[in-house]
This record gives sequence, C-alpha cells and structure tokens, in this order.
Amino acid sequence: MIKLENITKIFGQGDNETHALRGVSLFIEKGEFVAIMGPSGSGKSTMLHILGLLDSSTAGEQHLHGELVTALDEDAKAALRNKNLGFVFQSFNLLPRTNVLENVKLPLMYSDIPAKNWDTHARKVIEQVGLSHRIDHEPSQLSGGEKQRVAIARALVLQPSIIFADEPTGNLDSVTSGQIMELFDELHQAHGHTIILITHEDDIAAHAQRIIRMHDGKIVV
Amino acid sequence: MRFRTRTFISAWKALITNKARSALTILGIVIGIMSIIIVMAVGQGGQDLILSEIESLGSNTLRVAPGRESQGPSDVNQFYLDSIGQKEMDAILNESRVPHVVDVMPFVVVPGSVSYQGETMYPQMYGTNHVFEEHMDGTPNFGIFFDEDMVKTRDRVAVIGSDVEEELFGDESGLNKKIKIGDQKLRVIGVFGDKGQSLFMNFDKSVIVPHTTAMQYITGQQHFNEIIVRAESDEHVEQVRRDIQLTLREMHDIEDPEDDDFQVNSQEDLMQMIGTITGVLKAILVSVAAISLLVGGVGIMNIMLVSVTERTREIGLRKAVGARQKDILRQFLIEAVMLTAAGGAIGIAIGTGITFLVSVGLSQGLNLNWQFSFPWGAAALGLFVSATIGLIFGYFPARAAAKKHPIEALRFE
Repeated sequence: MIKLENITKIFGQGDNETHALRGVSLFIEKGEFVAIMGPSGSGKSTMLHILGLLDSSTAGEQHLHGELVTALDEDAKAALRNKNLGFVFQSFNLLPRTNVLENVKLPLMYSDIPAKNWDTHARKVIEQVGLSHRIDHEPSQLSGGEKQRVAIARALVLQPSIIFADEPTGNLDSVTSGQIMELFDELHQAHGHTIILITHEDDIAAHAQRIIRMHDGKIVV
Repeated sequence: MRFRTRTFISAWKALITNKARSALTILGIVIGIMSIIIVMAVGQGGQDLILSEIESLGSNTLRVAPGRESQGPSDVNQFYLDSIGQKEMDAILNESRVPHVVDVMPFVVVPGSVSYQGETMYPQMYGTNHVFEEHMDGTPNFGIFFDEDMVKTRDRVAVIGSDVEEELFGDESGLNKKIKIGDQKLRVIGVFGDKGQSLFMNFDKSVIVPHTTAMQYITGQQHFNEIIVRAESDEHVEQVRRDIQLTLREMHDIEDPEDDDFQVNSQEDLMQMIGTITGVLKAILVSVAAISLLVGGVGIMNIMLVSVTERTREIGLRKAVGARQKDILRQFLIEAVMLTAAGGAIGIAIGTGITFLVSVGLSQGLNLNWQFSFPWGAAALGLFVSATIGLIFGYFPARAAAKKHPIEALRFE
C-alpha cells in the first residue's frame, strides 16, 4: 500500500544542511496499524510528512497504492491527500469560531462530492466519534478529548484509506488518551482503516501491530 | 478561473466570523465610494439645475455681449466693453437687417447702493426694458412693472424685490415711496413676492429700473452689458445669430470674424460651456475621492496580509485536507472582493442618503429647483471600482497565502 525506497530528506543548504532522513525504506500493508517511535530529532515527523504527501523527499522513490508519487506536483498531491489520506494533529487544528459540523465538512469543500450531500457525510462521521450532541458547538466550548474527536471525524469524512496521527494524545490526559486510542482501535479493527501514528509513549504505541523505531534519520528496528 | 458556490460560501463564513475586523477594513472603501457618489450625484444635480435654468430662458434666445470671445484662460476677453449700444440694439430690431426677431432685452448693470430715509443697502441693480416682465417671469406681486412708454420717456421708477422692501421700509409697503439710487430719486412702482434665487439673479435682493433711466441719470454709460434677443422659434436661432453677426460687423467695419468686438451665444453654446466647466469640476472632485479609494485599497491589502499571517495554520490545515494553491488563492481573493464590494455597496447607500438630504436641503432651504435622482451611473461605477480594488489589493496577500508550505503553515505558532 505504501512503499518507501531509500528515501532521504535534506533541509537547508551548504553549511546549514540537516539530514532528516538518511535512506529510509519501508513497506506498509493495507489495514496495518503502525506506530513510529523515536526521540525528538530522529526524523519521525519528517517521515510522517513524506508518507502523508505533505512534504517531498530529496531523493528516493515513494509509491502509494502502487502509483509512483515521488514526482507528482503540489496540486496532484493535494488531490491524493484529499481522496486517500486523513490527518489528526497533536494540536487539533480546528477552525476557531466555527462549529463542529462546519469543521468536519472542511475536506468536503475540496472534493468532488456535491454540496447537498455534505451534511449527511459529516453527520455520519460525527456520530461515529460519538459527538452528535455537540454538533453545534464551537471548539472553545469543547474539551481536549472532544476536540480530538472532531479532528478524527474530519479525517474520516472522505473515508480515506490511510489515517495519519501525529502525537494525537500529546495534549490529552491519560484517561482521555485511553478513550482516543480506543477510537483508533475501533477504526482499525471494525472499519479496516490503515493507521500510521507517531508517539513517544510506549503505552500508546502498544495499540499498534507494528512499531517502527527511528534514530538519527534511520529506521533502527 | 472557475469559481464554485462553495468557495463563496466559505469566504462569506470567514468574513462573518471576523465581523469587527471586516467592518473596520472596509471603512476606507466605504468613505471613498461615498465621496464619489456624493460628488457625482450632487455635481449632476447642480448641472441639471443650471441647465434647466438656462432652458427656462428658452432655447430660442441668443445673448449678445460686447467683447471678444475668450481664446484661452490667459486671454483678456473684455476688450471693446462699450461696443454694444442703442444703435446696435435698434439694428437688431430692424426687420430688414435681422428678420425673425421677436424682441430684445438689454441689460445694464447699475453699481452702488439704494437708500430710503437713512436705510442703505447694496442690492443687485439692473437696468432693462419692459420685455423683462414677460421673458423673465418678472410680474410684481404688488404694483406694476414699467411698460414700453415708461422706458421711452426715461421715467424715474423702480421695481424692487421683497428683501429690498423689507430692508428699506421695514413692515411698511414700499409702493409709491421714493428710493435713492446715486443722487436720483426713483418711485417704487412694483414689488416682487418671494421668488428666491434663479440662475441669473436673486429677485428678492434686486432692484430693476428702465435701462434708459439707468443710462441717462445714474451710470451715464452709452453701452449695454448685454442684450438678450428672442428669435421667433428654435429653427430661426442660427439664422438670427448669423444676421446679428453680419449686421454688427458691417456697422463696426469688421472684415475678419477673428476681430469681432462682440459675441453672440445661443443657449446651446452656454449649455455646452457649462457642461464643460461642471465636467472638469466633477473630474477634479472625483479624482480627489479616488485618492481615498487608493488609501482604502492599501488598507485592505494591509489587513488581508495580517489576516493571512494570522490564519497561517488554517491555510496549512486546508492544504493538508486537499486544498490546492488556486483554491487558497481564490478563497482569499473572493474574501477581498466580497469585502470591498460590500464596502462599495454601503458607501453607495450612505452616499445616496447624504445626496438625498443635500437635495432636500437645497430645494427647501434655498428654494432651488433641485431634483434628486438616484445616481445609477455612479453607483455602478462605485461597485465596479470597489470590487476591482479588492481584486488588485487582495491579490498579493492571497498569493502569499497560496504559496505557504503546508508543513510550515501547520507548525506556525
């Protein structure tokens, strides 16, 4: 499903060159639940961004669904992200002063789905994350766990094949973290979503089937 | 570029989530468009007023004045100030020289003051003939206007305006009292009612005497300041004009029309001239108002740039969930255009309101025949200009937003 071959990523130029990824190869199967772990600066975030087509690699080849995506331009990558990939961030990234329903509808705006169907799609995933009673609330009226549920609903609204989660529980207490991870487990087991998650907490990573450990721009296990 | 309804809805939502800022942003545009509407509408009203006053004189009238026609702003056109006198007027009235003339009305400006028993004032004083009564709608409300015989015999009579009467006689009637102009005593035979300002004179503040009386006893001059000639109909105006020119040239031994010591203008000439003058005035005022639009545009750009920076994470998020560069560009451009167009619309509304109040004020307060009409042209222009300003000044910030890298945008604190 996702294949990385000898991917390198270099930030900066000349004396400022930083090698974030030093020849990473990786294969992730459809339906896998993968956790990427590593200390800060190990390149795990860069790897997630490249896997999620948010950033491009300096060298190497990358395939998604069997298609070579390394050379695609920004617009083509945006279309692929919209259709196939969902993102959940540590800091939620919800639009302020915009209610739950409108926040969840955001990806639909950039899809081919006609506007008259947006509400139905959005309500379905909001129900899936258990927030139907908060549908008219704005982010400032929600708890941290609820905010992350909205973000997950937003990631799910176009039924992507892969969901990327960048430290999704980093801003949450342990009880709420557990609830959010249960949601990810359910998405993985009951709905068959492929999940790629970054964390530096072992108990979070324990939810995954496979753990990829990174150090200094390389995969160590 | 293809714009979808969803982009407009999204832009609209972004604008109403920041109501206070949106309102402040468009203030410059509102004021700019408002000024343009006021300038254009009031200017148009003024022009219409002047033109309707001219038309009320009748399009079959011609104005004969001494002096050359001005050749430019620095040209002294007041040469030969004494070139039109009784002799010339008689020639114009001579049917064998200038046919199709109904009548003529000479004008003599009488400088100085008018007084009665110690009360003195400086009204507008003119000497003219009996034609004035009919042609200028100058029938007095009290008493009579002087007739042809009184003009011929240089009667010492005067017709005065209501303000003049009040000033000189207080609550009493001025009729048959003797007022003093220069060292001459003239009997008041008529008093105008409140008529207010017309284009050429303020009846209320004027004193009209027979031109013969004025020339003989008061000013001592032998020439007229101008003569108004009435042709039989519109079709005869050009012929009459030509005949007057030929007659006067012959009388004054002028061979080259360039050397004319007089000028003959039709109402059409006058209207064209006034149209040119008010057009130039309007253009100057509109360009001043345009400066405020420019400043408003820079304000829009400034706020849009702030907004783009402030919404960096939103832009990053939109890109992460699939927005392409042009989607972001469109969104911010549409936001800018919606803002400025809304500003334009508000400006048009306020400007029209003020124009309406001005026209009510002018017609009620100054007793002018001022017509209010909705400035469709200015409104369309204002809306177009404000939307264009949004497009131009919104482009740079919108491009800055579209160019943001999704990762850097998402990391922005």
